[in-house]
Amino acid sequence: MGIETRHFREEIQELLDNRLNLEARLEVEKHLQSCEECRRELEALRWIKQFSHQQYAAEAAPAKLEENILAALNLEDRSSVRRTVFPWSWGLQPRAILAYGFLLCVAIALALSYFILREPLRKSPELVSQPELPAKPPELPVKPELSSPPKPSPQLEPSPPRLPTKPKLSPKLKSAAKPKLDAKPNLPAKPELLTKLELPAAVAQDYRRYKAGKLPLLLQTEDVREMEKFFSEEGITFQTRVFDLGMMNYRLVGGRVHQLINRRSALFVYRGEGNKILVCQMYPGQVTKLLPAGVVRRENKGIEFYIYRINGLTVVFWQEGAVTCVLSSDINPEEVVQLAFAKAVKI
Amino acid sequence: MADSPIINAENRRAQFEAIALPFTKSIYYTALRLTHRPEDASDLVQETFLRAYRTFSNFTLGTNCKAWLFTIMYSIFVNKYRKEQREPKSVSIEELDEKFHRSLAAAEWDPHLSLNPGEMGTEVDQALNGLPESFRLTVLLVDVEEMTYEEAAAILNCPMGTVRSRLFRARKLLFMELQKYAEIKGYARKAQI
Repeated sequence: MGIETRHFREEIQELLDNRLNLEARLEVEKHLQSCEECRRELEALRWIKQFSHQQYAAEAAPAKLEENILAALNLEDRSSVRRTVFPWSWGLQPRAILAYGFLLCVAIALALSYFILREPLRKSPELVSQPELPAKPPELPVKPELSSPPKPSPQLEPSPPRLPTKPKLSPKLKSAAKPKLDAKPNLPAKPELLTKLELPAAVAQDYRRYKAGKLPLLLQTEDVREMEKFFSEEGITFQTRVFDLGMMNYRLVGGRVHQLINRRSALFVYRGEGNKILVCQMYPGQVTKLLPAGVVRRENKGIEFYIYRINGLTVVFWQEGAVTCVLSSDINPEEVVQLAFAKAVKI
Repeated sequence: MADSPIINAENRRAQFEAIALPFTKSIYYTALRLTHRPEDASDLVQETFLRAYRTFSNFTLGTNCKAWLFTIMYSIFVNKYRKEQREPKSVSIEELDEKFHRSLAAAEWDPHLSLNPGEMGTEVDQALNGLPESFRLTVLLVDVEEMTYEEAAAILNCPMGTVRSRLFRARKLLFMELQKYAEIKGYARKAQI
């Protein structure tokens, strides 16, 4: 009996915390019917869990605590307004700040007018009449399978608006103030730039296409090893690592060799209770080189995670050696992040 | 899934108060269990909310705000308030398990024992405080705050397996400690360990 108790020791805790999948749960429950020692252990652990919950639960916080927090937030609001309006204030009086500000503006205006008046004389006419680079790179043709109908750029959650902390120069003044800027004429955008902008959106689109039944899985299997073998046989040159998410109540349903914009990816799909869907893709490449800015970054176990929210989907990228992994889903965003945290491996 | 609303400058304060402030009580009590001093706990909570407010633009609406606040609180605690970290005694799982089973077998313990808070006296706080900090916080996050192993692991910045193992040990240690109080109070027969 002792051996059996030790055998089910960890599973009993998993059962208590409702973390076993159906098969394992049935096995442990069957064992419990015949093993009084394990049953007693489960009862003891359940008791201690309930006891902790009730005995150590939060009571009322001190009456003044919330008041103090609100007062601290008020102070923060006032100081941040001051920092935003006068970022260089360093605790100076408003009048002094205005006076310094005025002097600074005059100095900037003088410096700019000096450059504007002086530069045309120094530069060759070609350089002066240099056309400005377009604000937006020209659209490049994309492969039919990958292209989406003309659509707005990926709707990532924008960062909250920030007030400018220093006076912004118009592009014309900027170019005048910095005459030695690279003067290449109207270059076409590099293909990578387009890829960079579209990668998270493309991952999100793949998720939607799978969910809508428009992205068939070429192999349907619940066996992670079989899935990895399939990728290897289908010419995926890097080592894929298909996760076992059984402990998290997700089962593998299958996968396909996929084309994620201009790179081959191993795409595999999981389903959980309540028809929750997770789509994972892996492809060779450095995650930091390909992702657009404005992402939420989080770090766990020494691994950087890059999190995007795109029209209700959560897309989480991370690096494993030479391979970039990305997990996408429309389930609770924190759950997607935690799944990525749980399965990512530092290589 | 509907799009998450976006935090913007105009309603930032109102959103923060609506989303974050309801967790004041939970954060305070966990802070108190960590610092053991009400003044330190209040300071720690205030600092947590202030830092959270400053970085609120990094928070994704619709994600777990409570776990986010706990992460900030624990980070401030580790860097500023923790005076010394008592390492858990290096007792092997097997040794602990054996003690636990001996305690369980010998004690006349009633699993249906009434669980009115405070019934066993304030001494039970000592049982929790007697646990190493990492074990104590894991119990507080998972059993008291009802977080998942994954959320607790993110807050404590450790692998999920560590959370599982700490919980495994902490619950058993806590049970054995509480057995002592149960015996004193007459809820259980003295265990012959």
